[in-house]
Amino acid sequence: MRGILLVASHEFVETVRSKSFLVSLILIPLMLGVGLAIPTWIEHRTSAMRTVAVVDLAGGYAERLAAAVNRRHAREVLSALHLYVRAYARSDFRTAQGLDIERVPAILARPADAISDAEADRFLAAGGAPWALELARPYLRADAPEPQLPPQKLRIVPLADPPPATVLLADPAAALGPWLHDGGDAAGKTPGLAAVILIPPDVTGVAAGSVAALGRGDPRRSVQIWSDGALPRDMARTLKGTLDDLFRRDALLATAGTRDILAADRVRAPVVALDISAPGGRALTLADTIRRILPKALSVMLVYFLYINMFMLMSNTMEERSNRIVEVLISSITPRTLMIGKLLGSSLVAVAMFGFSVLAFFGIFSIAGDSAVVEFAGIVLGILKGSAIVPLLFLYFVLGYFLFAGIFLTLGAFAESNRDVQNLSLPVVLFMAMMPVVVIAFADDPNGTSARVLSFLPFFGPFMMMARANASPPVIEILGSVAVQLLTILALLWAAARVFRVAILFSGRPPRFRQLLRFLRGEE
Amino acid sequence: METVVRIADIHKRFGDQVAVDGLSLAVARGEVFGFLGPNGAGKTTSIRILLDIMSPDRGSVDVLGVRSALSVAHRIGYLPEERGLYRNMTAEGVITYLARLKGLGAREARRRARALLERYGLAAAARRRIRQLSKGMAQKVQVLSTLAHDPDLLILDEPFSGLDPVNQQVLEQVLRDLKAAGKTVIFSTHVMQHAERLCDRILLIARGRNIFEGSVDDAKARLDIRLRLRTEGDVAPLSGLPAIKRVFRRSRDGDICEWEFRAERSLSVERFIAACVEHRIPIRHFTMLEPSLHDVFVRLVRANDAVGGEGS
Ligand SMILES: Nc1ncnc2c1ncn2[C@@H]1O[C@H](COP(=O)(O)OP(=O)(O)OP(=O)(O)O)[C@@H](O)[C@H]1O
Ligand SMILES: [Mg+2]
Repeated sequence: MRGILLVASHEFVETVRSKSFLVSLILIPLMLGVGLAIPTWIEHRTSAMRTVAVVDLAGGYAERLAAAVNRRHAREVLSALHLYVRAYARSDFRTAQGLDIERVPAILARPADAISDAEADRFLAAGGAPWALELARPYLRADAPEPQLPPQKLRIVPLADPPPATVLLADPAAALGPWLHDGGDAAGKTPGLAAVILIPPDVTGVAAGSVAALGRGDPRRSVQIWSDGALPRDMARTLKGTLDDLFRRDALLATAGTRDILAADRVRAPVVALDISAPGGRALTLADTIRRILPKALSVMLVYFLYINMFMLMSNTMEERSNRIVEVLISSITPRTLMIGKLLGSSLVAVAMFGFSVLAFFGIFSIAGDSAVVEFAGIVLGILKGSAIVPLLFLYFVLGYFLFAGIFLTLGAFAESNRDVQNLSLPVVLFMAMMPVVVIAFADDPNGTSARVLSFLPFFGPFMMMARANASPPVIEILGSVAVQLLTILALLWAAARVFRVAILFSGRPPRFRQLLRFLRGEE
Repeated sequence: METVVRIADIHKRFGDQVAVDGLSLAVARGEVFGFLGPNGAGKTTSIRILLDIMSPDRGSVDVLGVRSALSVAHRIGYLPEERGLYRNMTAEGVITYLARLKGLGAREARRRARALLERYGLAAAARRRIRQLSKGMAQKVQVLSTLAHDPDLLILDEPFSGLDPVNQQVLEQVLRDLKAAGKTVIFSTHVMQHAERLCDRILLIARGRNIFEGSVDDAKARLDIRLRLRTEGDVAPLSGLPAIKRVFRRSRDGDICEWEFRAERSLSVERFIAACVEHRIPIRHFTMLEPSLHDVFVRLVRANDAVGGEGS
């Protein structure tokens, strides 16, 4: 026991002090950061325009919504152009205060909120950005670079051949399904719709801060934004903001000159976002999306994590073998003690890295400071707190760890060099790489037969169970899966202990399979 | 004399390669025991079996009164043939860790590590990482790591290889100190000078079998004494002396010839010289060549090879 603890603490301390461990520690937050930044960045850069169709049963909203969305984009472009002109104006159009706004066309000299609807419309009618750029040209320095103007990302169109109003109102999910599901194309409906907005006939403005204004109102009396899956956040915000504007203006106009105008200023649109694939069109939140993706993501992370740790374990063992220190070790303690100690120490390293990653995950969110990211972290934290995911994740991590550790340790014991490490581990690494693909493929039907069968297979079990974590699989299945894995681990470690003893003193090329069987029988 | 190590008729083969073939030996407490043999003779394999790092196919081992050296590991220090230490650890750290594996407490292990490094001139290297040390220095550190837990029995597999002459001297002194302290030392080597200077007894093996076990003098007794005499006289009367086995002329320079006499160890040099005087043989130059262990080694191994060659 003393020997095991000594070896374990040595393994732990030496690994934690090693360069590869430090590098992984630095890489983990870095990769988390990049992982978060990439979708945001793509979202920002992507110029793909999304089309949203409107069915306006109330009348009078569809055209105004389309115009408002267009104006909104016009303002973004003009505002960007304003900054551009300010930066690159010729010196004779500058004053001590900056741009000489008296001599530059007014439309180029305004921030977004100072641009009137009329100006925005004039800009759109005249031809948009190319026109405005021509207008700006005479005032720019010759060496001004091409401007980066925000692309139009959203377009509002009427829904072609909408189903009859009665059908729509009775079961909007079924009626709109063909336009939004992946099969929309095949059904001959407008392809590529990001969402369909259904405006019921008797929708009215609601007070700011009310339940309905916050997106939790009765869908039948709200503007319904139907999509297949989560709406992109910025699109949802744009639509909500634009609709709020429309409803507030209507209210202001209706109450002009009365005291009610004060309340009218606070009128908002009742908007609910709905998921076409959720039964009954339950309101779709970011939390839903995260909840759906999180277990799969964690399952993939688990594999990735194991791989890092396995690689470290294998390299350490390879080092001990290739520098022959192992012979001194097994003249002091039994090979079994050495192996158990190493497994224990390296599993502690893995747990430490695991803990660090969880901290880094939340650390990054709080440092990031961006409200969307913090909201995301908040939701993740909420989900994690409210469920058994974290303890399960830990359980599956430990199971996964010991499932593979014995194998990698033994392989490491045969390796003389890093090249051996790579060659020997290749089949297992390929297997590990394949695992998340299989698991994710079956995770879409988390309580289906395939997923359940996979849960009971050695090796796949922990990862499959992780991916199923949110579908609350029966406790008996969790226990069964854990039992299968424990038995597998016991068998593997038993075999590993036998082979390990021979492997560390084995000289010459790594053995063939038949030799391994001989080692298992205890021969040398 | 108490026997510390006893190996009886051990056999070990790797595939169809016979490494040890019926080896037996016994080492008494306080002895310095040399384990000699040509490359591939099975020294390392025997040592590993002795330490229970490997199990023999057949035969028995008794170390410090038990069957498995592992259960008395804290009383044994082992320097393997192929050296190496954790390259990223400090000299002091490695010695401390290995001493702790042998049962020492953390503080005591560190104290002994420091003391040893200081005593053998490595105090400056104590805090340096092994990879920053020269090969010889690292090897010294490894030798020290076998001593830190104050073992009763030391088993060193070719401890002198890789050391410069000065450090070889240092190591010889270490072994003498250990003997003086009553420790038992078993070491393997194929450099006979070390064995000659240090060993109380030696075991010579070849092809996994004992070919000689006994003291260095006994080993030498296996070979003839060689006498060289330079003279212009007639040496024929000398060849009749008892114990003289063979005479031949080595060289000639005018009238003076150099003769070599091969004689049994029982030959008395006094009688030989007296005979020269008696027969009026003038002595220009006279030397007596003691056989070296090296000669014994080469002879016995060659002889064994000839026998083995027939057999296989
Ligand atoms: N682990 C092993 N696997 C296969 N063959 C081995 C192994 N260890 C030793 N041998 C073989 O057994 C024989 C004896 O080897 P051993 O290392 O015991 O000799 P040695 O006397 O120590 O030689 P040297 O003086 O070269 O160190 C050799 O032929 C060697 O090839
Ligand atoms: Mg050897």
